[in-house]
Amino acid sequence: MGKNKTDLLAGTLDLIVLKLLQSGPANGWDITQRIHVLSRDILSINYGSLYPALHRLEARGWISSEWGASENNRRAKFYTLTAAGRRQLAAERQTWERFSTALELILQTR
Amino acid sequence: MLNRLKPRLRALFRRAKVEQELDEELSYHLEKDVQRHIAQGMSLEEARLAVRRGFGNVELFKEESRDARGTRLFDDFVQDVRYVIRTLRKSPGFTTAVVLTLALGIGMTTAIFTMIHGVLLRSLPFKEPDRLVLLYTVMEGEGEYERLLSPPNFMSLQAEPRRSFAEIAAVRHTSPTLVGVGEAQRLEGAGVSAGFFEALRVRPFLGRTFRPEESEPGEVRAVVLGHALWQQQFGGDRDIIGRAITLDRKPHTVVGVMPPRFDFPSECALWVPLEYGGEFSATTTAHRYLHSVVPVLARLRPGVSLEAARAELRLLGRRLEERFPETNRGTSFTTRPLHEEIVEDVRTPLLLLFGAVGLVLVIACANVASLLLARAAGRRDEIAVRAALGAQRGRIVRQLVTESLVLGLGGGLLGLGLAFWATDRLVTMWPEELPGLDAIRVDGTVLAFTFGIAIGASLLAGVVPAFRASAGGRSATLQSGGRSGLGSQRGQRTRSVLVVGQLALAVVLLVGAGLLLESFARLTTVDTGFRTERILSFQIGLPDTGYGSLGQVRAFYNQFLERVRQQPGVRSAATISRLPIEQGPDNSGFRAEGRTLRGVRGQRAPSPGEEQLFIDLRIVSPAFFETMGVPLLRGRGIREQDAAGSLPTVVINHAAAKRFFAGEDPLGRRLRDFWDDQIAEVADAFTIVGVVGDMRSRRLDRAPAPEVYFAHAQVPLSSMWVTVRAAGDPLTLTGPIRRELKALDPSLPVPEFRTFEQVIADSVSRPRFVATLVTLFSAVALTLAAVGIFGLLSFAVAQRTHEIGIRIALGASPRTLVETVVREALVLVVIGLALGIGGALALTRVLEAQLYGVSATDPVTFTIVALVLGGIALIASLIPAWRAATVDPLVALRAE
Repeated sequence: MGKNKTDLLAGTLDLIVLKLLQSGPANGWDITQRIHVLSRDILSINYGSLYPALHRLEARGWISSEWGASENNRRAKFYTLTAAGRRQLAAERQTWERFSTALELILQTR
Repeated sequence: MLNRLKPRLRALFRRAKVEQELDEELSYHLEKDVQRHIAQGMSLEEARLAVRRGFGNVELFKEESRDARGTRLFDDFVQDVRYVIRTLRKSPGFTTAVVLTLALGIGMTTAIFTMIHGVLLRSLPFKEPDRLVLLYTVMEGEGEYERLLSPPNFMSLQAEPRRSFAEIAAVRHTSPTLVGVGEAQRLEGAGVSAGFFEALRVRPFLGRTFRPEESEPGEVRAVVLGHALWQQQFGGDRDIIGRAITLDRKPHTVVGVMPPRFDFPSECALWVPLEYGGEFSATTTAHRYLHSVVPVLARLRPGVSLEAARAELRLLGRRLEERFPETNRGTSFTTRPLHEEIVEDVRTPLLLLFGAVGLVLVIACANVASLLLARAAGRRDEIAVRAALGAQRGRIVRQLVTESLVLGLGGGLLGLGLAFWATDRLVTMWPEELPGLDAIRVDGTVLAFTFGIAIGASLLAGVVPAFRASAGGRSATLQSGGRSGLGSQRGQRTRSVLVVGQLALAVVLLVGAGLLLESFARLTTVDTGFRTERILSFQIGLPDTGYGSLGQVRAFYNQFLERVRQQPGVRSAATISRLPIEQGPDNSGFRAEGRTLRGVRGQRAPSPGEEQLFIDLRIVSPAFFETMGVPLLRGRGIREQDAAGSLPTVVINHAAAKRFFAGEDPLGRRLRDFWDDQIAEVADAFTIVGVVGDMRSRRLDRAPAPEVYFAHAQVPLSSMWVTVRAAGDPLTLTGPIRRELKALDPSLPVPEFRTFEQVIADSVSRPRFVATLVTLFSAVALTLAAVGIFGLLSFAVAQRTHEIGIRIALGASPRTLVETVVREALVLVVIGLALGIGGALALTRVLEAQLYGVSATDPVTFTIVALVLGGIALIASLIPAWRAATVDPLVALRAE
């Protein structure tokens, strides 16, 4: 939570979580760590935002959860992308790409 | 869809588990974080500290997680309910008072609603019941009065081509005697024409219903048994079909058994074909003009409205008028829904009771509202503290409303139990067989109703106090200690409104109860015109077989009366065709000789300009007037000599003499051309030999009508009522009378004996029942209102203890203090009474039809109610006033 780290744009957390779950089930802590690593320390997620987001996505049926054993054999909750989540990811990804392209175009104008 | 629903449902119903999982998930996460920090070189201590620093407010994001699950509102509600139950447990007195008050109001309302729902709102247990209607004859110039159909007119309607009606069937009450199965037994049955079962769309349980040809007269007749009779008398024997049974000494073949719940007309044990012999047909002219009328049932064709059916009936009426001008002049037909006719009698009393319990419920709500208000005032400090700590006003209101909802649901549950119990009692106590009795039960609709009024009542009682209590909580209350701030004054005003409202409603209920009681009292003390004590009555019906000739009937009754008279303890015994009060009389048209009007022969309709006279007919044996104690005013009564072959004689009552022979001497005058077939057969004209006093023979609440008495020896009806005047207890005579009857004819069924006092009591059983219930409700209302007023005034006085203490310290006398408090209370009482009297004046008019001998605006009742309620309110205010006046000024000043 350093000050040099970027706060997330509204709505992007859902997209990130869905994307990270595309490669397979993961628990909450895994997700924070992978965001950390994959964004090369730029993004950091507060648990205060992550867990409500996970529960929100689950309530919408985009991800499902299951208790399982973690790598050191502790009980942990694993989240999996559902078919609906896969569709949602595709849709959100498309929206995001259109948005970033548009933003890029605007920022490039002289 | 299921995917999305599951986590929410889980969140709702497995709340604890979900919360625990959330905790577990978070602790796993935190642990991993600590491990990560340690891996990066921190000590365990440092790592924990770092994690806790970055951790933030756990409760906050738990809340957010709950929000994400979409169950926040519910979670809050559950939390509120838990809190409420905790706090209610701390004040058991208050909780009990509120729950009991609500349970009483809700329970009584639910019980009456259960009956209304079962009787009035539910449809008949037949297919498409709203298509079932009854047909009536409408006579020109007779206003609203509608009659049943004459058999030939019914047959014509049945034969006419018609668009509106699918089936038309006649139903006539019969009471045949069943012999050969156990003891001879008189049964209630119905003679039904072809199409009856088809119109109801009901199939037999066993065998078949009637074929059209079975309505023709024959040696052996068909009979369909009711399920109950089949079970009780024939042991449910499935081989009953085709078996012969004996009804009224004639062989009948059982062709079918109806299903268990089929009960139409109500309490009918069996059905036989309605047989008119060759006497009438669709084309005969005879007997068409209102002879031996019969109830007619019909089923509307799909899509035909009642209006369309009525229009077609008018058309059919006109067609019959053209074909039978002599008899059908000015005659038409109309129809009314069957269900309406069946429930007509009980609708008003039921709605009346519902209105009464509704008022009780509102008073109960006002009571609970004042209790909540007082409680909220007592908790003002707590509320103020919560408000100061940042609780939103909405949250506080919600908390308070939740409290009243919990109380309301508690009251509702208890009330439901009360309703179960009370409904059973009501149904058993209801003075007559209720239509659709089976349908009266607590079901989904009733539950929904109870739930609805429980919530409604708690909101009604809880919302105003909740807003009052939370208003201005933040600043004013904390500063002033909550005694004299704006909130308190407004609370005072709300309380005043509640006192006034309760009083006003109680006045309305009490006036209603008072009027009903007064009218019931007048009804039971009405001068019947005869002596009702020590009279035993019972009915004897002779079958046609064995008593086919007039002589046989005459002989039987002569012998029987003679044997009864010889019993010790019998003063006199007589017969009458229809029992006074118990049954409506036979009403007939006739002509009075010597009146300057053209008479009307019963066989044809009156021509324009002709007047038709109507009179009630009764056939009596010589000792009847003596037995009943009816005074002879002029001439003589019916005598033994008035027998077959001698001069046809009648006795009329005072009302008839006044109506038909005003200012003239009726003795020796003749009444002629009676419509009644049996009387017309005896003679064209009957000479008046005497005038007797008036009996209230139709109903106790109706003035005596003109009545004519024929001699039983001249008009020997086979079914008669016997009245016996005893020297002592009339019920001791039942054994000997039963023995005499058996000795005379063992095949006759045992009659049902009743004293005449019982007959009269039964005839007023409904007004008595309604008056009793409304009085009971009023007593509850009065108690609630009194307790409410007492509570509110006590509270108001207690609130002013401090002020009163100052006054006493300054030298005010107890007397002045009592006067001040009572004067303030009196203002409210007077306003309440005034409003209540105004309301009662407007509302008791709906009672008018239920009242006898007392006007709906009876000043005596109004005055008594005002005095009683005013007195109770005064006492309720005196106690707190006295308490205030005798307060120790030091204690009062310290009361903070």
